[in-house]
Amino acid sequence: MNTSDTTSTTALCVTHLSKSFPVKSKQGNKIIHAVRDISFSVTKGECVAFIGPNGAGKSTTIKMITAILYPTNGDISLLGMNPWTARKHLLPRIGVIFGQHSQLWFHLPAADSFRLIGKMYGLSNADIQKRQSYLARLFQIESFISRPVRQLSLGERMRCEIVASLIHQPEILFLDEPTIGLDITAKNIIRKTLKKLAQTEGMTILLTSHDTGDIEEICHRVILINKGRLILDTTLDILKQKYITEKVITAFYADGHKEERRISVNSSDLAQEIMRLTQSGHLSDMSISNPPLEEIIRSLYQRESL
Amino acid sequence: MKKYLTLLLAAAREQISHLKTLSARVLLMLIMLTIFRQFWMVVKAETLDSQTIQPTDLIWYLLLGCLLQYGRPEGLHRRIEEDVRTGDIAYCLLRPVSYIGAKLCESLGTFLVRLPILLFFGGIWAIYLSGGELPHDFQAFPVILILLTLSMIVLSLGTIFVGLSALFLQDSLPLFWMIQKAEYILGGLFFPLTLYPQWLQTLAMSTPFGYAGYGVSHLIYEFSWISAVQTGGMLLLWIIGISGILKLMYVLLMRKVAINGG
Repeated sequence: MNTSDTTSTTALCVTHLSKSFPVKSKQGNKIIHAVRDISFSVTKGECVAFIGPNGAGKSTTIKMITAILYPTNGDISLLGMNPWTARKHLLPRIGVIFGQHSQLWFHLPAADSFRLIGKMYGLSNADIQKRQSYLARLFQIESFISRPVRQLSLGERMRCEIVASLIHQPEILFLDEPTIGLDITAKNIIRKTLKKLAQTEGMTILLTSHDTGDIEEICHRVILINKGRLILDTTLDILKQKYITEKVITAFYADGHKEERRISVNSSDLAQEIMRLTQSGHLSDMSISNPPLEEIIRSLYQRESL
Repeated sequence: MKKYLTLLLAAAREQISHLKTLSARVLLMLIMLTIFRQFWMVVKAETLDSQTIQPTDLIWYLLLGCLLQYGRPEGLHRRIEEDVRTGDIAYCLLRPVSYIGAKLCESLGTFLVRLPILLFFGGIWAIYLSGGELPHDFQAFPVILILLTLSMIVLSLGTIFVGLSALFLQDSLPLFWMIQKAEYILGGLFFPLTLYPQWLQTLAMSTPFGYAGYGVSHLIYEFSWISAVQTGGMLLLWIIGISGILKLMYVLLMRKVAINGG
């Protein structure tokens, strides 16, 4: 992919981006290289997972892209503009969610925060109301939208956070661990709704998450970084094809127990293994599947840390 | 401007939901007025110029000072310091509003809700303490309230300055204490500046506190349009000056601030 080519279909183009932090310690000043010379681009309407282990530089990269942090080196073109020089023009076109940082007014009802944020973006009351109703329905927050934010559960609050960042209908949405600490129901609502919005509104999504469910549900492309370096940039399908080294065979028996075997994709023992499993008891069902994405990503992390 | 007005109204709404805190402040203000009234009754013969300043005037003078003290949001510098220390201040860049403007709206929204409540109870108490008498220039009250709002803006900008100074000082509390004491003394919160030695009066009036405190409050018993216009003009100049300093600080801060990754 040519990262220096910024066309009208490119939502984001990051070129040779680096960020270093000076850190003081007893041994003297040290430089931490959080992000090292990474380049990638995202086409409009794409949903991209930006993943990596803790401390890989994901959030730092997003903070540079959204003009929260100054890069040490490199260029960023977001919707054709430099985030630092054109922040005022960019802000109405982007939405940002940091899972561990709230943008809602703690003591006010969520609906009031939406109205405030809408006003900040210069929306009319009618537009805010219309958008809020639409998003409230999608994210299923109608029943608690009038409650003060401090009284909401984490899952409820996070859904409100996402609505708040979508109220001005951004073209590109940055999500930094949006489902962290949420239960499966809240996660599901968020994933499905974001996917739907990306499809219906043509919204570009750049998502960082440690939850592979988020990645599989929302994204079709994965960018993996580790120790500040870009390791991998590929589609989810290719990632699965290329990095799956084994298949999982699960046999379910009539007495209720199940057995699982892992077998290398290059192995010629598949038929023998299936035979062995069928002979182990009264077989009621059998499945052959890929290992979960989590395992693939974990093995990639391990490979990179070696 | 609409967005700042919305922020101001949000702060006002939030304040309405904190009526318990406000009632505690009202009570504290009434106690302060009572204590100082007793104090002045004892010392007035020796210290006050009875030709120009009457005890009634002083009660209202103190009331105006109290409106400034208790009308502003508490802990604003602490919240700003926290934003600076944690790097949260950088997240405010994601909103299409100025951080300083938003904090000022928070102060103003709080003040506009607290002012009528404090004034209502404080006014009744001041009338009671002065035996039903009104201050000498009571008819100037509307002008004084406008100037009082300008004073509040000046002092709030000062508090924002203290909060942002955490970038250089790590802990803004010592500076906050210094500024607070300067506000009490140089602003003439408890005593009109005319009771101070001349050199201290000159010093006080060369700081924003002199105009924000005494400059406005003394108009309640010594009103003149010249004085009011001069005080208003000086307060506006201080607002412009401090805003400029804050803007510079903010730019510097945004270049220095470091936020942890995820």
